[in-house]
Amino acid sequence: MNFAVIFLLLAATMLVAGRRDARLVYVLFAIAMVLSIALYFHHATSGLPLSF
Amino acid sequence: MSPQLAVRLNAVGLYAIGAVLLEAFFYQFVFGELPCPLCLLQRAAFCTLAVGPILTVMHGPRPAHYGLTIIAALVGAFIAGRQVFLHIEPGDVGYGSALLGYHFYTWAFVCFAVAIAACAAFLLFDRQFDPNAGRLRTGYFERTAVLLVVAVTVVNAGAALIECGFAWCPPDPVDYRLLHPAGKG
Repeated sequence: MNFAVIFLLLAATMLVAGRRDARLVYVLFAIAMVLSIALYFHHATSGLPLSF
Repeated sequence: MSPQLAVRLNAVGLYAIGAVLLEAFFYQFVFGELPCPLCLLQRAAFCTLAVGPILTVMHGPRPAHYGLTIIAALVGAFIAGRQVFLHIEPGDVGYGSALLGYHFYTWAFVCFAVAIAACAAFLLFDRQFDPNAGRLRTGYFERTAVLLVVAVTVVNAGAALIECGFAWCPPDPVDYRLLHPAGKG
């Protein structure tokens, strides 16, 4: 469901971008980014097979 | 580069993003390859990538629009890069199919890198930001590109809901949760 929310939020961002409300687009864009990064940290839990 | 040419090229970019997302749907629905959470995040990053070009197509070129695209591409490249590193060990067969020898997360990384390079190249052309350029024309070609990306994003929302249901998405999905709830085959 989390991904569906992000995709719907992005669709809403695109629709707002079609109008003349740049500030709202930036706010929605930032929310989508934060949610994506939060979801990334939730799912990216496996250790990477790397050594430096 | 004239503002009108910049708008046209941004519309071409939107078609490219739409093509990438449609290709992912093709492999999902024709070959039954369900996207993992990192794959879904990369799809979301491609959708985020489209916001800047949509702003340019609808309201004209501005440096901030390219800035949004670069931010989205950096996040997408980071996510795709992590998935590349997850499967980097010799002998690891990777996740999902390969296209021309590379898995889709590798292609996604390349696409995000190309998007960053394209934005950098576009920003070199100052004339597109001329405030006295006059009214820009947004024709069928540009509007169809916007509608295509919006439609694919909405379909992605539905597909993600059907795949993951109302819970967290499993790390290695094997079935559509809403279509085949656990215990009911």
